[in-house]
Amino acid sequence: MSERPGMDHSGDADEPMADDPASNPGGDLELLAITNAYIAAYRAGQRPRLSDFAARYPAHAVALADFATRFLADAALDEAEGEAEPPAGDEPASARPLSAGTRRALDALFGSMGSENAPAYVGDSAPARLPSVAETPAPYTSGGQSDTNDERPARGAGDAAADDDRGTESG
Amino acid sequence: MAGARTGLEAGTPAAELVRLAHARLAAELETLAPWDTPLLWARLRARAPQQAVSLGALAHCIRLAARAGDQRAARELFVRLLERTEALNARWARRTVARTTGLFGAAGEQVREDLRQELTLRLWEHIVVHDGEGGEGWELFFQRALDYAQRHVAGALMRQHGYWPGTAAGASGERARLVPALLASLDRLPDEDAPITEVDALADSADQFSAADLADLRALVTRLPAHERLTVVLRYWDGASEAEIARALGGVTTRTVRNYLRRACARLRGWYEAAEATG
Repeated sequence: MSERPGMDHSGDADEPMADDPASNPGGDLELLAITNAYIAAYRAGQRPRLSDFAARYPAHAVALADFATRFLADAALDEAEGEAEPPAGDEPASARPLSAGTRRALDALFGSMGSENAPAYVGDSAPARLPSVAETPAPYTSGGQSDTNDERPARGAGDAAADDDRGTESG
Repeated sequence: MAGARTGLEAGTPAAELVRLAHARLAAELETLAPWDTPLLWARLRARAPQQAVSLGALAHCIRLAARAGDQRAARELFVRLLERTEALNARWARRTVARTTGLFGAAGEQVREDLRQELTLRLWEHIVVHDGEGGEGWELFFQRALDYAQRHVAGALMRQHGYWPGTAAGASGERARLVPALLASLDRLPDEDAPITEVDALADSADQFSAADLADLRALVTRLPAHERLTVVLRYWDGASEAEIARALGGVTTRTVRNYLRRACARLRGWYEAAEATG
């Protein structure tokens, strides 16, 4: 382990500050949206100006600046190392085997994971039972933008009724 | 709908971004097969991006399952989520350990795995256990929420291990070169009473540092008070002029901007010299 350095970094951005969203990562929707827009623009090659974002979203200017310094440092490393940038948004990514540390955490949360490559806690032979819409209110609707078809129906009252017919088997 | 749940002020630019994210997720969810059908689970379990749902949609399903008390389904989906973020988290752990400890390869493996373990525990806590306290952010902006969670875990764990950010091997040499350069640049700020045309000319010709050069300076700059920090970041990371900074700060004068920069310079110099004196 390295020696503790002489320079005091106790206020470094890696430590949550008073208004730091890191203590509740999903809690500030506006900041998440703004940082997402900034990164999306950057990854699209637009090299967005922080000053423009700060002027447009003044309430989040400091938090965005804090975020951007780390992001730009990583982006510079990506470029220097020739590493592909991660996707900007939440698009699907390939699944990979879990690391030892991740598996340790899962063992702590759920008990032993069993064999080395055990993929999950639910048997793959039968589909697990997700809650029906009637049991849990769906928070999202697209406001009439549905383009669903008959073969892959959207969640709705009909699904709830069907779920009721099948009964519940959660647990 | 977003305003009612999050306290957002409807119609603001930020609220509009959130509204668009809601619509995007809703559109994706509407394409999914009904709950508890093999078709849906095939997609939730898909390992290839072409067949998989987005990370936000997966987080949505995890939260729904947990809210309904179906821990078994929530656990499986959580594992699927971890598998899908494995590459992102490996990259983050490698960067964090290299940056803060100077350990690479096998030498840093234990610390990297400790980070991964802690991050996994935190993700479960945030996405599943604390449902309703920020959970929606994981559905709408999963990767950004993950960014912040990673940052929090890195700061807490590395400090607990006795490491401080920005202390990787070789970093001190860079700092010794770049901090004086930054301070010299700040020292070249024009006097408050200089003619405005001269001020703008000087300010806009100030030294620029690349993001890579500035990476190590973050550790010092982020200790500054908020307005000074923002001013320095806009000046050196963004290359903004004083006029642009003044506008970004809500319409302050360029004189105020220079004052912020001067105060920042004094603080940075003090911290740097104190650190140099203590070796």
